[in-house]
Amino acid sequence: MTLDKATLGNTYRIQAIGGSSADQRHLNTLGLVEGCAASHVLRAPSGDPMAFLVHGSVIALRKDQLKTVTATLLDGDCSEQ
Amino acid sequence: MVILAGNPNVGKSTIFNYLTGLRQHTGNWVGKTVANAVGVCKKGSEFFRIADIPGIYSLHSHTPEERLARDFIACEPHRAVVIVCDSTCLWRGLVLAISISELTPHIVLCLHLSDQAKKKGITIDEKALSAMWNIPVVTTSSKDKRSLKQLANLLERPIPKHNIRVTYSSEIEDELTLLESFIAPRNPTHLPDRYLAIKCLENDQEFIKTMHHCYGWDHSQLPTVSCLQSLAIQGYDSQKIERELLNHKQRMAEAVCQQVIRGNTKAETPVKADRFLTGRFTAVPTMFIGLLLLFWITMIGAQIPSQILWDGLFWLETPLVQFLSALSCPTVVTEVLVFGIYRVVAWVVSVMLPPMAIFFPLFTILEDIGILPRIAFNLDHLFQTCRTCGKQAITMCMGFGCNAAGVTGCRVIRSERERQIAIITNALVPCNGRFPTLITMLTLFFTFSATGLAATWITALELTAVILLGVGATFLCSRLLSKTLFKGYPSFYSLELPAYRMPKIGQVLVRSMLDRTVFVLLRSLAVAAPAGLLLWLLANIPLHQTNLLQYCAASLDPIGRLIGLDGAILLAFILGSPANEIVVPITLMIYNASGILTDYSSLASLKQLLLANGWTTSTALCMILFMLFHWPCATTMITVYKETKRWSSTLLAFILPTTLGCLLCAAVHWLFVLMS
Repeated sequence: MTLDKATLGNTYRIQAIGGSSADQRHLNTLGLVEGCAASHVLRAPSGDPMAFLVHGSVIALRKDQLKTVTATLLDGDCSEQ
Repeated sequence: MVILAGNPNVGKSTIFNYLTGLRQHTGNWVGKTVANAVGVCKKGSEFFRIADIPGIYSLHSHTPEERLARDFIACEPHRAVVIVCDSTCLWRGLVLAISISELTPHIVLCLHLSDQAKKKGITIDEKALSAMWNIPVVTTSSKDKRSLKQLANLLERPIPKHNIRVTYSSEIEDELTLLESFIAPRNPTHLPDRYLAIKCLENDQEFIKTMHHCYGWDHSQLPTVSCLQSLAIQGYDSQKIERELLNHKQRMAEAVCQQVIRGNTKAETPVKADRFLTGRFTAVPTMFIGLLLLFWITMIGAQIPSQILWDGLFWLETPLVQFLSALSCPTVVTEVLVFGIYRVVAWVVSVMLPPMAIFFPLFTILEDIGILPRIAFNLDHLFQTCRTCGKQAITMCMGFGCNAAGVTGCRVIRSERERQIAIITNALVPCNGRFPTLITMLTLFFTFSATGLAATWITALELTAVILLGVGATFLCSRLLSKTLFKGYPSFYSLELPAYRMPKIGQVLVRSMLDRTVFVLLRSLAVAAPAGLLLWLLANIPLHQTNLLQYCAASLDPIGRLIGLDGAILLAFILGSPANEIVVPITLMIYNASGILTDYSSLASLKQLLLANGWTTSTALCMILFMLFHWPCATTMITVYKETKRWSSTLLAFILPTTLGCLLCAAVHWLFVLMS
């Protein structure tokens, strides 16, 4: 599934990041890397953008961007910070 | 020299301020520092230079800040680079530290915001980290001045060389070794051979040019092309190389994190305040009520000081005249000084200053707490439909304080197209200098015979409505601009929501109140003095049986009447272009036939004066709308030009609000005419 469909409160493990290379780079630098965990913690009143807790900080991204990130639901606690 | 580096919004500038004693403004949102700053640290027995560079996430040269930071570290000779990390988010800081370690042998790790980490139950084993990498590691917090002193002491001593080494994949390592062997014998730079080799593999042309420019490094003899070809054969295109280089650093950072971080690793729940501020049904009411309260507090707080200043300064007039005549000052000069300049300054100080001195600190406190990114988060969807950057929400909010500051703040917007739109529409929200006039007009004409506390609430509500009108206009105009003159695609957008921070209220109050007070006083003197002089001159140059001032006002009258104002008001707006604060006093001066303000001892008599000059409710409403939507003040116009370097954008910034104002005022005026 892609992260734009994430449910509030759940944690996901990122499988792949698509989009243009520039966008991929941006996402990588922010901490969204293949294999890391992201929890959906906050949602704007209109549903877009969506904020994720990644590597200890909260990043908000637009749904357009999140459509390019594939992830799977993580069961239990995430083991990284 | 010591360089302060780190991720955005970790508190570098606070540390910089502490070490140098300078007072750069800090605020709780990403992107606050936009240029390098250099100061001198004199904390201990030695002193050394220290530089604060903008916050960066990595050292790739993809954003102007990263380029600036990276070039600074590469070209400026320095003793050490301090990497300031957010202890609650160590991973990011470590990635940056690892990137910087490839560039320079002496680094210091500063684990900042440790108080917040403690609250979350995170502890970092600084001894283990220090031993692992052979670098000094200091845990600091802006609340604990002793820890900052420890950092200062540490920086005075020589810093050992670190032993951080990132190992990339074998294919890349092979090519790097090859390149290094070519680079080593002819390396005029202070940078490690390995780093130069990496840059060659990344094909970072800009950096290579900078190295040539800075050090005269010649890379033409290097077998870069064949290395890249050989990597390409093994499946490494340029994208993959870049990804690999970043991934290895990130994985190394993660491994280190797992070793040195102890404590809470559960995903944290957001603060209740965030759920409230961004909740589906609670976000808009919360923001509205917040805005309303902000204005109400400003008005209530300003009432008494305003009255005192007003009474005091106008009482002072008579003694002043007597004093000047005692000095045998010619009447002409007395008139200019007292009834021209002094009157305008008195108005500014008593009517403008108190609300500004209250609003600005309140706004700064909100900024320090970290509210702005949440507002940007909530409003982003609207900005998306306008195809502009969500960060415009932040610059728009800054425009509430001062339009010129808002325009400068637009530097955080990467995309050129979106930046232009944000700059051009910034003046559509009223700045600090316009609030008091709006408050005065609303209090005079639109309180509908309510008195006391009820009146203040009504005025606050009306003011909020006016501001929301400005915000709405910003959206509409942004949308219009992005559909016509500035077409294009939305750029990548991400927003970091930093943790809420307790603002240093005392510091903010003192600093911003003082800043604001002094700034307003100085500016009103600087602007009011020539304005008062000019007005007196115009009022006393005879022309066509009247004076030049009245002649100008009369000529502008037809245009003014068209939009529900009159010639005097229009002339006042024109003459008040340097600073919006003086528009009303100039209007009053023009109304008086001899060019001198008549006495008015209270707001009620002020209303009488206006009514006697033909004002109606329609005029007051048009005045409010025109004050909201007219050309930006001179400072803002100059700033727009400086930031965009384009005459077209500056012209647009002038035309857009003015056109909107004229159309709106005309519509309101003719509506009133039709209704009566």
